Amino acid sequence: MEPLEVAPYQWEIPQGYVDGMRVPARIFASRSLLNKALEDNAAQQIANVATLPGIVGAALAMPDIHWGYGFPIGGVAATDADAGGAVSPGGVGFDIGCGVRLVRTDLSWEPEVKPRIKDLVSLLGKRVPRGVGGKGRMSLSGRDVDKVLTQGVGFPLSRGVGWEEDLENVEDGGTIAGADPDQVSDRAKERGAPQLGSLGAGNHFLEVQVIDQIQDAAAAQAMALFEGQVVVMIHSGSRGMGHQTCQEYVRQIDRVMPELGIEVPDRQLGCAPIGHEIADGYLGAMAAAGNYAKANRHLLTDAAREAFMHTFRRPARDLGMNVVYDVSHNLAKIEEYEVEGRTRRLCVHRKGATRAFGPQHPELPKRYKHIGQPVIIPGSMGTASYVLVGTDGARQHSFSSTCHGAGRAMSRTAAKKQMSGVDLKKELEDKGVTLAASQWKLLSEEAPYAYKDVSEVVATCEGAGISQVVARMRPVGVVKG
Amino acid sequence: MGDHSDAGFEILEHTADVGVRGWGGSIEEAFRQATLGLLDIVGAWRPGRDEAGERVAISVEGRDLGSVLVDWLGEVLYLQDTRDVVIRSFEVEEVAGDRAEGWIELSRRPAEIEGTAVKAITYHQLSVEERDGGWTATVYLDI
Repeated sequence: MEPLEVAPYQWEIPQGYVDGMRVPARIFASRSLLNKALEDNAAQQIANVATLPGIVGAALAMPDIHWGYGFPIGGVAATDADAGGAVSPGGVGFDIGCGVRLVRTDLSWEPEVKPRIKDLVSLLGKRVPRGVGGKGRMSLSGRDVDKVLTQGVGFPLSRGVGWEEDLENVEDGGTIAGADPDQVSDRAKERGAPQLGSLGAGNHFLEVQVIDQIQDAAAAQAMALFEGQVVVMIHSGSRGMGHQTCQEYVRQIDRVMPELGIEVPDRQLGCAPIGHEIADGYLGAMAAAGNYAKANRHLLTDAAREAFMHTFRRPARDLGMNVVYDVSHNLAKIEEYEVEGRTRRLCVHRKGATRAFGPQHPELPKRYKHIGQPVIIPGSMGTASYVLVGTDGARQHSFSSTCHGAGRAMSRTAAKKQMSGVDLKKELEDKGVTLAASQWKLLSEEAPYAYKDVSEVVATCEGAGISQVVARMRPVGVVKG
Repeated sequence: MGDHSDAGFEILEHTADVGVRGWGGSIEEAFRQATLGLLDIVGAWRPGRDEAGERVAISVEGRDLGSVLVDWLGEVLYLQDTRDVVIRSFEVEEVAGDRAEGWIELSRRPAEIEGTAVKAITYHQLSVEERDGGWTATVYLDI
């Protein structure tokens, strides 16, 4: 298959490539990123997504697209919520609400943080629960679980964790509307209850980073970012709560699909029309698990503030440790867009894609109204990360979506074969990155060479007009799940 | 536990996640091998552990063999993750049409578990099939 270049950095797979496509599929990519998408099954998977009932415009793939299960990672699908459009739990993924939070500091790498980085990372390693199993920072009793699911960041705040002003810099003000804890099973609650405030494993991390380049001075100023500044990036999700919730809804939907008369090319794409009991149940449960994910990142922020406070012997407020922004890259949201000349309510699935509202969007906090929504892009371990802002172009071309990271390019097995975890640790340390991991053996599963070049991904988003670069960071301390 | 010769599992490559294919002379053996594959990835298979553990019955139903496999592995993962344990032994007693029966023995976990956290069991490229007188069970896991 050879997709057609329809605009700079936009490639189209026409309807008909896969039976049942209702719209074309479109990939945002440079030539070399497109080739990578064609090498694994990702391009085929985004064409499969174009078969979803009620999908409008095109099934979209962000530049960091790679082979997933059902949806590709980096997939975006908007379905018409009022005209038979479907919601697909697989289009959000198992880690519901997974996302990234960026916390700033007033500290500079030199001279303040550099001499203390080993102590700081070691303390972060002790205070951030992580890895397989284990307990989180806040253990929840029965009724508190429902409060987390309903209130999101509001719950730990009500317990005195974090700062009131954190709320305005979290997507949806820290609480996703429409959350319904009754749609979340006891099993999901049981799995999630002990884990709140834990990083998890896999690609999740907490990093200490230094801003090494500012590209948009005005936007950087609005976010209080400056060159040489030390920031903290947290990448985590909804832990067992979200995984179990997604697992159960995919199962339920898989069971009713035959009677709904919906056929999809991959069972993991299973979906139900919005308005159907199961679809609406899922949306309520998804919002609830999304709230858990936000509360989780909030508790991890608290761990970071504590570690800085103890290392630098100053209160976190004196260190200026405010939240820059917190945004998910695995959610489905009801948003309004103009499609074929009229405003429609769409269910926008973002699976490994970040919402990227442009300037003046009503949902933006006041301080970001003039610059657009901050978008936090984690790089692979040991490479650069970015802060971007959303654009009007994103609204026009990508249902206000952009990339979510570097995107994998190599399997975990292949990555482990290339280098041992211990050797990778040494290589990263030689580059000046201090590490705390839960196990060294598997570290190289997440090696930088297993990922695409995040700089190329970000440059492609800019070239396609779906976001703009504000700042680039390099890691100096990594706490791995 | 029956004859396990000519049975085994392999880990399948995937860009972000990981697949498992288990095979054996019976469908129960193929399920058993797929389960061993899952436990190997999670790092929670400890057949040598001295301490006897709690035995929990597993009974699942699906709309076909594929969904039975997803539900079976889903139960194992749910028990392992929720109880934060390792698995000392298990048995897939019977797989028939739309259901599977068996049990799993949970044991207290050691301080260190060397493995990758598996988030969930997917339906992506799911298959359970009889081939050349044996059975294979293929499933992808979300890491």
